[in-house]
Amino acid sequence: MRAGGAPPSGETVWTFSAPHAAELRDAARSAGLPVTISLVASRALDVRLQSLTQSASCADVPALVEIEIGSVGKYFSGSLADVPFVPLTDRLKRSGWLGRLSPARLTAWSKDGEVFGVPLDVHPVSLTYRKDLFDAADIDLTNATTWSDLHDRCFLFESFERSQGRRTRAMQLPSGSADVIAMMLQQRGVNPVDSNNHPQLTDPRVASTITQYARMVAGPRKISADASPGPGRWADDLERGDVAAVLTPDWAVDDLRRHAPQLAGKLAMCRLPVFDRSDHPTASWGGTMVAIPRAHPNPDDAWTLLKRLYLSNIAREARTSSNVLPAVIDWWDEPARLNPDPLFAGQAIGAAYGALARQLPTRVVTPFTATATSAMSLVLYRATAAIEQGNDQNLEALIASWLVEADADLQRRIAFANLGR
Amino acid sequence: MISPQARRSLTPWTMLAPLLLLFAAFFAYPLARSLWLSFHATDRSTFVGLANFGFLLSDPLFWWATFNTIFYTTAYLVIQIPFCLGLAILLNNRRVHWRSLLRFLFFSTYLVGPVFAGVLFSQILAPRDGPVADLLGNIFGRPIEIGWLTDRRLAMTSVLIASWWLSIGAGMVYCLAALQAIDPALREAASIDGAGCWGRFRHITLPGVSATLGVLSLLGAVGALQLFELPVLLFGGPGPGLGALTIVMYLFNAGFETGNAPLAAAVGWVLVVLTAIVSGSALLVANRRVRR
Repeated sequence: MRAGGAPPSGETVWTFSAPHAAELRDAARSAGLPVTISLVASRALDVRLQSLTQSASCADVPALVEIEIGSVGKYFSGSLADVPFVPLTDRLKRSGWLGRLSPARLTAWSKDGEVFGVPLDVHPVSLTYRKDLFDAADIDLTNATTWSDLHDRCFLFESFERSQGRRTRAMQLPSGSADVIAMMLQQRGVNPVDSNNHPQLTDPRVASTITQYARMVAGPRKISADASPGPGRWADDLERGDVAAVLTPDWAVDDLRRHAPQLAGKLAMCRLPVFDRSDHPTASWGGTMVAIPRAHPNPDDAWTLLKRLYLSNIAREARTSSNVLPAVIDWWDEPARLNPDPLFAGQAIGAAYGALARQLPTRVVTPFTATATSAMSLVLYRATAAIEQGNDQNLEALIASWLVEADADLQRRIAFANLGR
Repeated sequence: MISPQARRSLTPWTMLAPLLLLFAAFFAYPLARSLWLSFHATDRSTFVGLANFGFLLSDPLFWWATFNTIFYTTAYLVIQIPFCLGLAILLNNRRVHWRSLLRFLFFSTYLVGPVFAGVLFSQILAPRDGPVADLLGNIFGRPIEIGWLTDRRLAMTSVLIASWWLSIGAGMVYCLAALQAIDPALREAASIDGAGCWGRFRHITLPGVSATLGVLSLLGAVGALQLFELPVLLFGGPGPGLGALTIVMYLFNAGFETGNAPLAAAVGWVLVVLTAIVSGSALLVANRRVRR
């Protein structure tokens, strides 16, 4: 075995993201590390990793693998010993990195308090809107403190647009998926499934959140449109004025720069509205961790590589080229991030995201989080259908009753998945 | 020392050995392993008997996936087969100009594959600025926004449109080959005997292509029961409100999204049974026709 600080060679890193792959190649070149960076499509990476964890062979095991937050839950089923990644809590503590990483972000990559991956990002979400359009309608979104306030203002905005003969929708929100609902619930401190694998769908806050959201995407007070399908086309919608506001995680700003540069000076950004005063003004959307597969023959070498590629000064410099905030808290105040942003009429977007990241709620990811989100999508579908049919009277009670059914179904699935454990 | 007789009896086995080894490694073993898995719990070691199958039968989501798959299969075949035959008859007609070019154009959609079709139709069916929305807007004189990809009620229709576009040209080629194999003298004789268009179609063309239509239906049904790529490409998953959830997608989610390989194996075996029923029925019908 080599000494701990010696550069490992001939290792492989799997990533599903092309920008990550480019950053990693640059970092490896700068550090003089002979590392192979393999770009593997997200689903394929999942399948390959699962095959790897079931195989006895150590051949072709990557030293490091990047996992997307939507995929990580399934690796946390079973006991701690069943998680196919090397536990990192001790290594992070000993190296001093544990205290430097966003604590809200570590929970998503942990099981029973043990950290299995180093977060690469925090992805706080803000509201980006066409300031020129809202100003023309004389509507100020910055003082919309609650989602209900925002809904009212967006409704007024659409009325104004219609009076001008335009069809601009106020917001871009998915009408058929509960992704944004899950994000709103994060703001309220509710995870659809908690860290003990208990579904939380009967929490009254879930029903009230879905009720608010359903009224925003359906019925007479609808204020939203779905995004056009295709990479970056949501930004085209904003540029064309088909929609006037979008929810923007930090990674989306890079998309905006690429796809809608003509919007320079017309955009503004603000924190998310809340439901109650105690809610968080943001939530996280998406995310990636880097982990060391348990099947790797030399975890110490892999850990050294991880630090060189992701937690070194080279990595720090590489991350300043993007709007995406790293998970290392003291990297949020890089001078480059504090500059006024011409796309947002001089607003310091990096600083705004940094401030939001400090208020990020804790996010729990379990093997059943995706199933719970699907269940909420079905409830949303039933809710929007009820609204379209004019049954808006007792909507929240109806939604609560559907959530009771969904919660019971989820409990049955969890119990079944835990058979034999 | 091997006797000449033993060598003679061993020779075929030696020659078959590579194939048998490949068959055992890549077909028989995975099949047996998946059957074994389907009787075990998520930990893959605790025997649970038929519990995975019992769970499936009591799971409304699985029934919804089965309903969607059967609906898709039926709708796909009901439109695909007549259109393939109709197109083949049209492009077999000598009065149609540019027949070869048209045949190639219709067949070419099959060459691009489902991934291209998925990406293409996600753009064509875009709710606001897609070509379909533009066309409808021009026809009605006002912007028409249809949630092809966001409305649960339209999700399977969108998949069907993409599937038909992809496969009708290929089916046409089969039908064209069958039509060209019919002896023209039969049609001429029928015309001389006073048979009209419908009579010639009913008594000469249809019996002449019925075996091909049977094969097309069987292949189409088996392919349709395994629907997966198109909904994933169009919706990135089971679609709005699970409107495009299929059996194979349910299987994929069980195996790779929630990590329950034994349940996924059970779904696979249910699909095998369903496919066997559909194929068996098709073969029965075909055999009866042949006997007649």
